[in-house]
Amino acid sequence: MNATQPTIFVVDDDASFLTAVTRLLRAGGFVVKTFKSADEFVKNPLPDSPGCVIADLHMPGMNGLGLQDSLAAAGAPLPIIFLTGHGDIPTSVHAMRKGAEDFLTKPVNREKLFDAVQRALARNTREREAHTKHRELRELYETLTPREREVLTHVITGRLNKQIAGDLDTSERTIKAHRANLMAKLKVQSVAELVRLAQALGI
Amino acid sequence: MVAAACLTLALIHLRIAFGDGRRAPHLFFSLAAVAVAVISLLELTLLCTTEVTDYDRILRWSSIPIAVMVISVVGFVRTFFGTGRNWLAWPAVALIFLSQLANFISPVPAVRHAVAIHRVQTYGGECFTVPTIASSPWTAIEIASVILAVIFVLDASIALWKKGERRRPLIVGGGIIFFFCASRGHAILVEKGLVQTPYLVSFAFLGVILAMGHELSADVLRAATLARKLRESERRSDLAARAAALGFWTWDMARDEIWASANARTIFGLSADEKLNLLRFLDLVHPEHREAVRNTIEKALAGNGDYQAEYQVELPDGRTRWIAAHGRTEFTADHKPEFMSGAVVDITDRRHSELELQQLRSQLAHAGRVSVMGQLAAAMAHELNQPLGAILSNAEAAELFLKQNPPALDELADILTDIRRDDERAGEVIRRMRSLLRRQEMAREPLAINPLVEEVCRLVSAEAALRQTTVALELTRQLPLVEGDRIHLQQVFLNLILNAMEAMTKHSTVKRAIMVRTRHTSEGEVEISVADSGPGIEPASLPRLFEPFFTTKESGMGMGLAICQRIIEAHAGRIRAENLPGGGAIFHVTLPAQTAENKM
Repeated sequence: MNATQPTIFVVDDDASFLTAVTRLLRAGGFVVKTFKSADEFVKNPLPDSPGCVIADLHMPGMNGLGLQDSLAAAGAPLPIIFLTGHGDIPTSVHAMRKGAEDFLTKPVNREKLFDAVQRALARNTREREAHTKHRELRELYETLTPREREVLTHVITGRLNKQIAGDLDTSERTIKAHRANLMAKLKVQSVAELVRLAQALGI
Repeated sequence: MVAAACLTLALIHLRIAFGDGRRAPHLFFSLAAVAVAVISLLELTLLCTTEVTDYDRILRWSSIPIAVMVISVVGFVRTFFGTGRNWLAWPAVALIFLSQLANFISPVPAVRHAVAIHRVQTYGGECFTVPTIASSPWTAIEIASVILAVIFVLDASIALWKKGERRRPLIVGGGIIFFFCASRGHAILVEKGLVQTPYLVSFAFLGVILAMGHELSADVLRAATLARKLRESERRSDLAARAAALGFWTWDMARDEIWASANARTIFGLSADEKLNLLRFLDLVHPEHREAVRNTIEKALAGNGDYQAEYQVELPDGRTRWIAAHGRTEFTADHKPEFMSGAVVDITDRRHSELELQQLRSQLAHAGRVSVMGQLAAAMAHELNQPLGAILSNAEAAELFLKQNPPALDELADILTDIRRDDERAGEVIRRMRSLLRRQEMAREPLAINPLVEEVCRLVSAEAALRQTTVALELTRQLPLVEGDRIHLQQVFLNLILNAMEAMTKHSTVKRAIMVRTRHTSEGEVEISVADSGPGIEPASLPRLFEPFFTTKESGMGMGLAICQRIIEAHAGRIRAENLPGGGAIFHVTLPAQTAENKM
């Protein structure tokens, strides 16, 4: 299995449906991993590779919504597609609001299923990229000293060096040095870039 | 005078003897009375006989009425009392017969032979003849026979007395004994020449005749009173019969004749004079019921004689009528059926309203099932879409495999097998739903409860999964069969299980459990119970639970349990609910086991 190839995790308690949908996805060229219950899936350590989850909503033990909560709590960014025998409107709204990629009812045709899978994978790719970028930024941010971080919070609110020096009770020259250091460490050239980065980091 | 009185009595009872069912006592009584009349005439002749040879001849002839009288009295006591020992009666009869025969046929009368006669004068100046009698061993035999007869009557009277009767043994038995002793004693005195009187046998026996006649007439009087009362009660029952539209009938089996009252004839559409027997009756019964009615009659005759049937008859104008018949058989002493009599009543109207009620009930039950299926719709859809989804995915996977170059043919075989299996699975779900939704009359067939309960649990398994409820079964093996309608009973258990699920929706999912049990009660019934771990039933609601339109649910019609109760009652069963001590509610359904008797 290619490490960069996305994996589809299918979770369904109905063995017959599990086999059929796995067959279809494989025939469509996807890499598939199957689980008979949500509990089994949650226990399984997830590889750090792209992919998405197709899960039944109603299952004995932990149901689909529980699985969704559990994924979110673990911080795993795998998009989830619900595929259920019968979905009522309140449940589907609830699932979508919590970030489900799609809510499909069985029987589902190939086109719809593959579309949803493609969308989920694309979203996953985007999210993974964003996630990677965020992590890199976070790593850069971690290299700043506490003083530099303090200066950063002042810079991004648009205050001048002199004002910052006044606020922090130090000289304008010191602030200038801190500012040059932190911009170098964060690999940015302009204040605008710095503001965007700070936003991405949630500062 | 004595003769006239006796002859009158004899005639009266001879008339009765030929009109009454119990004729023997009357016949014996008449014979005895005639004999006493003859004796009295012979005695009268003896009074004025002046020739000793004439006297002897009359004595010879007198042996016939004497024999007849003694034999008749013995016969009368034997038949009228119904007691007495035959081994006493027969020797008495034989001895009197022998002695009188000897008296009659020997050259000189063997029992009493007049050696001489002489005339005596009464105080009033009247003259009469007194004989001098020579006795012989035959005389002793006659006396012995009379003593035997007296002993027989005494014994019969004592036996009757012991049975608790007082009048007959005292008046008839005592009278006969007294007058037998008196007349024979007086005859001995006359024959020994100790008293100078003529024979007065007839006078003594007049007493016997009067005693016998008194009691017999009392019987006749009683019979007359009974007859009057019977007529009265017949008139009353006829009135009642008219009011209740009852018809009466009696079937005389020996003659194969059926008597039917006017009402019964109207019910069967028969004319007043048409002759009726068993075949003609069965002919009137609707062909569909004929065999059953015949079997019921045969069963009644072979069994305790009670007959009960409901059947349709075809009227001459082509209409049909429902009839309920009840009858009882009278058996002879050796238990042979003799008569069967009873009543019939027209139950057409009742039958129709029953049918209507039954239709209404089954419509209601159907409505209940539809609503239950509505509750199950989500789970059913889920259950059905599972195999349908698998089929579609498999088919589309197959398409993709075929497009590959070269086509992945080895996968296709597996796919086809799976498609077939899922198709069957979907079909099974649909079959289960359809069988429950089918509208049909209530059937009565022998049913095993365990498979029926298991089927219901399969039906709710999807719903149970949806609601995260466990449904556990605890079935007792080798339960007796019950009799009833599979779908209606399934509906009841479905309703109870769904109610239990609903009762637990507010509970944490860990505790949602339903237990379905089947067992055999000590009364031989089959009990099915459905217990849940929910909050239980409000004590105030318990007594009203099965009332129509009573509901504790926000969106309930309140018909589910009411329908359940109707269905169970139609199966002669019971349904009740109670709270479990540890929390939760339990519903018990008890159904009678199918017994050999109600087996179809």
